[in-house]
Amino acid sequence: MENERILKQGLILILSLLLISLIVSFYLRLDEPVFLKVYKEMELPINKSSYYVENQLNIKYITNIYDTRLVTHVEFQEVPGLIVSASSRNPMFFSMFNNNQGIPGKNVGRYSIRPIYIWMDAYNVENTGDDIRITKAKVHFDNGDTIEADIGEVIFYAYENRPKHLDFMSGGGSSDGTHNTELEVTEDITLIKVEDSLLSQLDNFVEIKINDTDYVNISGMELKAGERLNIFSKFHILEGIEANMYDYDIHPKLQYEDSEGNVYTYRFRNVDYSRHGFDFMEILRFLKARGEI
Amino acid sequence: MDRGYQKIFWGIFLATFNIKFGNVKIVPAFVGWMVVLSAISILQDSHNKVAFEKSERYTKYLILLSLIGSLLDLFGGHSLNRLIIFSYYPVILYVVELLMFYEILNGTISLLESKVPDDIPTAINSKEIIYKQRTYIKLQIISIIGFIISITTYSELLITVTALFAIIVRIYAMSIMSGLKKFFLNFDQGQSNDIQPPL
Repeated sequence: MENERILKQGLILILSLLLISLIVSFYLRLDEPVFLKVYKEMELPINKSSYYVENQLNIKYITNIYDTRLVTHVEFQEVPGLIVSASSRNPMFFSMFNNNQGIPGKNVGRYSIRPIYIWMDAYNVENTGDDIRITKAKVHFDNGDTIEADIGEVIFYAYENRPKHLDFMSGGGSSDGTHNTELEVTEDITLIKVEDSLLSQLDNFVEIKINDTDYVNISGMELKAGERLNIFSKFHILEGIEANMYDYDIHPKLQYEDSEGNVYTYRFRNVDYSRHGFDFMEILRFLKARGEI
Repeated sequence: MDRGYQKIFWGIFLATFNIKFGNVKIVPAFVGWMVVLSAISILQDSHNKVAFEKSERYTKYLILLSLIGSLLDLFGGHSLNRLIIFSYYPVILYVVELLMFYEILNGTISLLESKVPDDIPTAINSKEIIYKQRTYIKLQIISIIGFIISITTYSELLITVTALFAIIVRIYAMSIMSGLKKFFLNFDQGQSNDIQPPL
């Protein structure tokens, strides 16, 4: 009977497809969440009281879509005394609709990109004058699981007074990672160098130009009062899916001296790059590059 | 016999449009399949037992599997989703449903062949049911494939489209049952009218 033949063929097709799907599902499964690294510098009032909610750090991780765990706490063991509170939800973001419904994050195929909102208070952190650096986080989930994760590199620096020789005029950026900042020089200055510990790591894909000169060649550049100082930055993340998925926000230090030979530092903050929206194939390529699948 | 098909119709209806009260289904799918099981026994009484034997067996499997599925849903909750094997559980249900319905139609075909003479044109004959059985098999296979791909890719769009398609397939099955019910209702009446008093 023909119907029986169609049924048998259909069942064979279903069975084969089921087998392939099971293999694919097992292959794509993540054993543990994969953290998207951040390379970030942020000002953190160290050993001073501060307005707590401003000191916010966001990190993201990729996990299986059916992972229902929520983050309850994050520890940065590299910084003793740092008070941290963390959540999968952003309590500062009040929404009339969909409040506390479901699991926060963005689903992409079999994966979900989940946020962690972290607030820090460095009141009890000893100020040694050095930058405070974190590279690892111990993440606690609501079911009791803990994960030790490499989160890239986040550097906290204490508040610095803005020097008086440079006045901010205008600034802007675009989503392709290009930024421009325009400053007005109020007194004669001579540039010395641009310095930054993260910048040296990211050197091959960050372009920074100061008045159209590459930042490594600015030593000795003289600027008269009333002249403009233009800082241009661009992220060239073309190759390497890994670097492409991470978030960057660095605040390099521009050193200069005034006519009397006093050295000052000006931190500029327009060197950042952050990805929004990932497609499934990108995530697959990324997870393969990281060796997670 | 019309009562049997009418019951199958309502059984599929209950299994398809199960009423939810919050998270708890008031009428879980297995209740619908139990109605189908009782309907099959009506058909067995009025025809020979063998023709509907296989469909009875598959319906029992379906009841058991649906029951296990409902219990797992109720007590296992989200944690079961983390087991990849369980995410494909509905596929097994749909395959057993396909086999059950295929066998119900096989029984119906043999019933029609024995009761309805070939030479008399009737509203429904075995050839027509064979044709509808083929259409049903194809549609149900497409919907199962859709489910497997949806579960694997977690594509919300595909899940929605497949779920709608699966409802359409169930409605198609219901329409076959309702046609058979009407046919046998008229057929039985016609037969009793045909009986002539002995001279």
